[in-house]
Amino acid sequence: MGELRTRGAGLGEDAEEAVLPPDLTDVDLRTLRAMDDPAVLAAVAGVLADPDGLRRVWYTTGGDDEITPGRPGRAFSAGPARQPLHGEDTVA
Amino acid sequence: MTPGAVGPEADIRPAGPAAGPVPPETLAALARTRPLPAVTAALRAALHARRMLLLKSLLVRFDRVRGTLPAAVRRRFEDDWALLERAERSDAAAVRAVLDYPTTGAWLATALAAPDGPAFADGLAGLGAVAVAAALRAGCRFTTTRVLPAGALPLPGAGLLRCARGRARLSGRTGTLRVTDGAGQTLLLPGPAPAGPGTRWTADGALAWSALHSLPGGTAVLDDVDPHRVPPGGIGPAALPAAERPYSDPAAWAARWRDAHALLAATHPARAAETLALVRAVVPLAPSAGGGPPLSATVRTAPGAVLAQLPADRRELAELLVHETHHTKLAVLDELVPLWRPGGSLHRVGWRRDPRPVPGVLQGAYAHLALLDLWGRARTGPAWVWRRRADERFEACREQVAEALSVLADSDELTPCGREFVRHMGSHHARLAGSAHAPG
Repeated sequence: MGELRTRGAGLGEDAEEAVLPPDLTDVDLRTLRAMDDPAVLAAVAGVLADPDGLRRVWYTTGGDDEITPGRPGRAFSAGPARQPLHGEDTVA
Repeated sequence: MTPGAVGPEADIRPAGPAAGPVPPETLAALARTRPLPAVTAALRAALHARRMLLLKSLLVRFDRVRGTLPAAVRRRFEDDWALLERAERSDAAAVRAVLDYPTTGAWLATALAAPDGPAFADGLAGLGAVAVAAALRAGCRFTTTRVLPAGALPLPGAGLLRCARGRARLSGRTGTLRVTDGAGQTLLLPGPAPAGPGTRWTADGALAWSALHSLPGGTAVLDDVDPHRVPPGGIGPAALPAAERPYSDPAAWAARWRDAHALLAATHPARAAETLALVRAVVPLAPSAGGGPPLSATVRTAPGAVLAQLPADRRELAELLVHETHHTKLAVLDELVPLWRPGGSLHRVGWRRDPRPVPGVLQGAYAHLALLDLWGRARTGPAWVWRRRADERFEACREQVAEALSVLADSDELTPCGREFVRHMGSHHARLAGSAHAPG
């Protein structure tokens, strides 16, 4: 998503170049096809530059075997008697 | 995101940095997982806007490579586009429903990712399925002849036409779809969205129509036929494929769906309404080879589809629906306004064995925050059969979400909007964690 940003107003002094896609909610199909608005074409360029990025999947596995309690290398402290719930993943 | 107001809720901060097209009140309500009708409407509008952007991307690419495409491919695409436009003029809402259907997004993603040449030409052919489905739903009169090399024409949100002879003529009239194959065999189907569960065949079996099953209480369907319903690589470590009809058990899904929604409605009516509004399709997954816990998934380009193995009971399905609905909500928001920037750091979270990147931590924390909200209600709610389980899950989940939120709060990979979103998530978590029965 990182390539399509235009500067967003009001994000503060550390505002970045942000991807703010054009609002096509109420555009009809005939208008969509004829549209040559630079913001729309910039957003299209971003989509076409990274089509594989569209294929992300989040999956969830319910059950009690998803983590090992107290496993080393955690970025935060592991509490006692943790009950794993679900897993998350992204698959390109 | 068109709707700006989210209602006079006490815990919605009126001020905060604008998140581009997302009003701060809406961002706050989303972060707090609030099931407000205005937020649901805004998400649906944003999903449609994103779908239109993908469609425009396909049009731009088609125009770029037009000269390299065979004339028949160009002609077919233009005819399909014309049919789609005509359907829209007849019934814009019907066409929008088809465009926004989850597998339409999956098809668009596949087509856009295809390399130039025959693969892209094949991808373009998918527009025909969308156009026919839209024209049917819109009640248009049309006639089109489809060459179906794979012998199948999936109509998003309606069903799947199989044609062993590889060529079919479809004639749509208000109320009916007539399909005739190359040998003159004909199927006459009710419309405008050929419904009625099950499959119909011609006498010789060469032509078959498999209609999707409706799920009770809303507009969602059980999609066990569309070839785009599961990514080509399957789901999860075991690369689980979709469950194929007749092994998808629609009767069991319908019963569990009805019971799960009754449970949700009794526990948190607004959450039940949100789920009904945002879930367009349930996609049954094949069973795991070695058994194990049930698996479910949400695909970025197909928000609104819940991919899942059949849960053991209504409580599990209720939790699964809330969990996956929040992946859908965040997927739609994430397309609208950037919450994170590419980084690469990995972090441990309580619900995974392996370290996760920041977007994964955010997705997981968000879905689990919604579950925490749900369990906070269920453990003292009217459904006593859920109370003990909800209480146990609430206690286990509370710390895990807190730790994930701490990771996110310390991350330098969030955008200003992402930091604001996480701040609201943290406020909601603190409220839930501090209350045995969290209102709001």
